[in-house]
Amino acid sequence: MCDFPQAFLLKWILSPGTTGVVSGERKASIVRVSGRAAVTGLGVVAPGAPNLSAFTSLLLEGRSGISYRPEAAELGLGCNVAGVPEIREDILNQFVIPARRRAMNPVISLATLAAVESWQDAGFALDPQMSGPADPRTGVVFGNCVGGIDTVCETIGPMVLGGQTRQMGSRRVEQVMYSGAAASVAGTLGAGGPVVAISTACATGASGLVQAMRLLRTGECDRVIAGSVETSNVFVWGLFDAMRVLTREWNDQPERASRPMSGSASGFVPAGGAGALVVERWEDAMARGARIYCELVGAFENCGGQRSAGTMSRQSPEGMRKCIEGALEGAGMAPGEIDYINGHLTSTAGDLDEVKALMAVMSTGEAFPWINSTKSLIGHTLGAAGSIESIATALQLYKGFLHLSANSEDVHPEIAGVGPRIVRREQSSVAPRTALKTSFGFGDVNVCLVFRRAN
Amino acid sequence: MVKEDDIRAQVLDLLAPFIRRAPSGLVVNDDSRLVEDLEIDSADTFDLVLSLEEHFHISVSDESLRCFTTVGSIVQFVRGTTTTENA
Repeated sequence: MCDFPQAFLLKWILSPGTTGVVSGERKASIVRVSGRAAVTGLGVVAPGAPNLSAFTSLLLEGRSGISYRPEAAELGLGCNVAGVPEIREDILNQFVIPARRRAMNPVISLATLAAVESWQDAGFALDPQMSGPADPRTGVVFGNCVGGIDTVCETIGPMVLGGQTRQMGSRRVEQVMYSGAAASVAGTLGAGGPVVAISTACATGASGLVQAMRLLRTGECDRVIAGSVETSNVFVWGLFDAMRVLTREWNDQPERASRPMSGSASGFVPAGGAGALVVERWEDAMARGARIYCELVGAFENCGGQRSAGTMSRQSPEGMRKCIEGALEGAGMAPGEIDYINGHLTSTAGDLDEVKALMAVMSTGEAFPWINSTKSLIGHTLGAAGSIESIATALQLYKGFLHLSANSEDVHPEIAGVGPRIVRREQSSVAPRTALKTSFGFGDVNVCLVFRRAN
Repeated sequence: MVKEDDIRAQVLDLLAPFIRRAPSGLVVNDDSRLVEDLEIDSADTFDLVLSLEEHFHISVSDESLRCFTTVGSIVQFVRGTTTTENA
């Protein structure tokens, strides 16, 4: 079952120098250990798509989940469009007892919805009463970027400063503690293995999958629910609006506002949601006859170190390139073997750096993989992006299609070479066999994942 | 003055959202223990106190809270407090 002896793997994974420092050996942080990782369950809450079925339809139709937000306009924000996920209370109430439901704020509600859907989608049973024992072989890796900022701003701040601390009640800590989503998911599903929060800004969801792969390959878990979540509200929007990184030019045309790779892109569209993937050992998935969406073949994470033109809010081109190369090497695949790229591609100037890094590594011309941006349809879900977009990638591999990369008709001239490879509606029937998923985050952190169709 | 049965019914209504014990076969009466029988954790108890204070317009000190061990103990506390405050 294992390609390498366990002792070797542990020594290799845990040895000094495995933190992905750019100047070190690339092999140091490659996750290529033993066994194969199967993606067997998906759960998602995205703008315009409250569950997996709706999200699949959104992708197939190339439909936008972005809408005009009057509350942003009323507060004077420059960007008045956003992707806001719907929290289905009726679904939550089916599997969360009232005593737990009352502790849930939006970030925990979204995470729980996605995680439970992924769990059931993988074919595992759910016990709403939480009466059985915890399963020590199931782990949870769940993260976010800014977490329960709405609870901090709307409740905790005003009540503490207003002298009403006692009236806040006892549940605010779990709503804003960084591991709140992971802990709530673990409690709902009865996960008894490692339960950890992870955060690498907008690469968080992808980092969760890297960590899940490690937990499987070191033998610490048989299955891991890897996910991430972000809320979408005026406080999150305001953070980025103040940075002038949100688009302000498409408030009257929400569905055209997110324009990755476009020459008329003017900033990203803020969004929220949650995504969760059940990743388990390939042999276990096969043995129980599970549906396998795809295989997580390789993963690589590094940091540009905010050197070589990299900063807190801009990726180092060298770091991105090394990350892409590392993922391919970890997967044991040549650039020409990648059929499709689900880019990080946010609709900012960073798109140009990302595509140039991809062009430096991948074959060019017609041999360049098909490329699209899920953000063109639902906006930038920040910490949730890596998970939701990995789900989009898994769905495309499993169902054999490519979703529209919207609003890139006027490809930016600096990356015109990839223009013919950007997915239009005409390519919807293309069935990719392999995919590269890129995720980048503030702090100059990079994550790349490689997926392969299961059959 | 509020009748004890009315207080009991209102206390049970306020308690319901905090009960973690599976509802099947669960009987709640004055002898029901908050932690052992109803699986209400200590953090929930603080929130229950807020509900009681708001609903009955009473004040529950941290010292009084330590006496909240059963449903009956809460009913008696509320009864005594409201009687005193309404006297």
